[in-house]
Amino acid sequence: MKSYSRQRKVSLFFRYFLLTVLAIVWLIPIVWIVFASFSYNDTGFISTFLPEKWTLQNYIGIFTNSQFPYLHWIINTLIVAIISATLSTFIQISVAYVLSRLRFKMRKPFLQIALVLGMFPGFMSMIALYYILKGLNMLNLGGLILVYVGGAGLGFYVAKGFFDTIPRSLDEAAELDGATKWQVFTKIGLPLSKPMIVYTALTTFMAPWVDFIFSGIILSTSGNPKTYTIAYGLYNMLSSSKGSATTFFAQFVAGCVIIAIPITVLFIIMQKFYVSGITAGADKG
Amino acid sequence: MVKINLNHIYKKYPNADDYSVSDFDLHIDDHEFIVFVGPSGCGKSTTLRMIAGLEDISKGTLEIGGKVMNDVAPRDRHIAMVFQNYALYPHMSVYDNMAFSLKLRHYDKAEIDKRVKNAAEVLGLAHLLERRPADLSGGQRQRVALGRAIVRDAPIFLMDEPLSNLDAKLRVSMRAEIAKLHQNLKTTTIYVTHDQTEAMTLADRIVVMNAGRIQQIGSPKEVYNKPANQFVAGFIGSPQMNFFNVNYKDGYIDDGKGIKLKVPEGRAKILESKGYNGKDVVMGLRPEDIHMEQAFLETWPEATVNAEVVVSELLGATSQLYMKADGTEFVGVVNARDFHKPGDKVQAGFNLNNAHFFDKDTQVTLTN
Repeated sequence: MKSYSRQRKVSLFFRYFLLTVLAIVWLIPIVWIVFASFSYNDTGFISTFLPEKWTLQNYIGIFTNSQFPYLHWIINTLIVAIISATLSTFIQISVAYVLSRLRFKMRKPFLQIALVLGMFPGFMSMIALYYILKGLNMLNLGGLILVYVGGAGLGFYVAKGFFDTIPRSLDEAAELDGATKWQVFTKIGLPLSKPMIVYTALTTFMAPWVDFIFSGIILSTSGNPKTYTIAYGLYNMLSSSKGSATTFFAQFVAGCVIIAIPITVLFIIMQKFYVSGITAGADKG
Repeated sequence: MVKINLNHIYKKYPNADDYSVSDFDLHIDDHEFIVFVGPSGCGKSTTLRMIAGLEDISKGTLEIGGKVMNDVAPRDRHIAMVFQNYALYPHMSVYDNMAFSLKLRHYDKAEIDKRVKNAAEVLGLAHLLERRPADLSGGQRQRVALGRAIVRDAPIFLMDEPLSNLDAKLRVSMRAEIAKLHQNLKTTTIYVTHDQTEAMTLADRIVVMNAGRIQQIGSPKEVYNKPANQFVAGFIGSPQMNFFNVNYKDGYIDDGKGIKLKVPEGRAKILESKGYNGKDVVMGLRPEDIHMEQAFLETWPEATVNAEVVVSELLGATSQLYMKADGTEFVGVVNARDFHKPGDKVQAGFNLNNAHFFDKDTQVTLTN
């Protein structure tokens, strides 16, 4: 019979082995794209994993490209992402707090309707949205923000689950201590929800930052590359240059690396807020 | 002076068929320490929460200091409450937890500081003021929760099972601290517990509840010695009172399963005057009224039963013997000297002068 400690070592080895394999599978495309962005070539094809010749030319090229205004795209996307993240976070947190803490007549039906609506993929509505926004003359960045913010209220489920874990007796204690409902929210609810607010802000920032479908539908009609957002703009670099798709391929890759930077930085800064242990100690423990 | 009047209060939750609390009628004097006690789900916490304003009152009026409070917000009732799970604000230090209510009420800084430090001194929290609740032990958290109530100088304290999350030893010492606190502050206190020891030791008056109704209101002594009905008799006291289904006839009770005893004259007279001669009644006898001392057995030979010990527990000064006489089981608390092993044949003396008799159907006490 095998000893127990040996068994444990073997199973531990397999666990780490599997995780290592998965990590490599995950990382290869990212590493590849980073290398490719530094790779010098004049044919458009990047055939080696490690660059044969290193260069910054692709990065310089994408910012100086006269056909594709990359800097405009970044600014457009930043505007859309920041505005819609701010509004969406506020709406999402408010909806979640109300649904978790207050009791009112249509609460249950609302939760059920939201659940059912959430089962339909968002892009099902794209044709309708296109015509509605066209009618409103809003096939621009404003319309895009409206689309992102409009659906924010339905994304309350995660935040509601979080609020549900904050003991109600905290609210009651605060009320007896003399707090109004608003003070309970601002002095107890919000400070305890920091991790949730950060999480919501991050997700609502990322969605517009990387969204391709809606920006493609809404912004494509203008035909003016200066109004594009990053995802749609980058796609255009390859698709609209027709037979010469390879011309800009290296620059395209560099553009992809650049848009990953803000998200990565945000995650590194914000990750400490992810600790949800902040409510530990409110209850018995 | 703060008197609390609960006038025929009812509580019914939406979607519920029955009242959770029915006809709760209680008048509480200034400085009184009232304990609501009863099994889980008997409505004691609900009643407390109605007083706090955390639950609506369905019917009846609540008066505090002569003013009807049914429709007053919790924050305007000037009540401090200690919760079962402490409900400390996890993102605030101990100091801020205690100062929170005073800050909301715009006390000036020096006054807040004075009050918080005083309370911390009284509760032995002075060295913990900068800590967060997560860094405290259960007993310390409980003390912070008490401190939060004390600093408010509120005329009424409500405590909802404040000790039930503590371990047994800490519970006893915190119980003493709460008693001491009440002696010093004399704040009118309503205390909810399902632990009858807490009820007996802390209360000026105990309110025993069951199924949403008050069963009895009285001092610990009254509730223990003169229970109003079989429920109260069974709930108060540990181990529980022994109940025997017996038939009373001409001065004797007989349960047909090994217990046949003579009822003392006084008790017999009461039973007969109430027309229970020849009828079935329930007899209740507390474990400590079962004796094994030789002197008792010799003095009252007609009040002894031959039994066999089933389980025996030595508790130090006393021992608890679970015994069986033919088909009837009962428990006695006797002196440790009278400890017997399971299987031993013993003689148990029943001190029927302290026996209680209950109507079999209504369960009301017949012999108070």
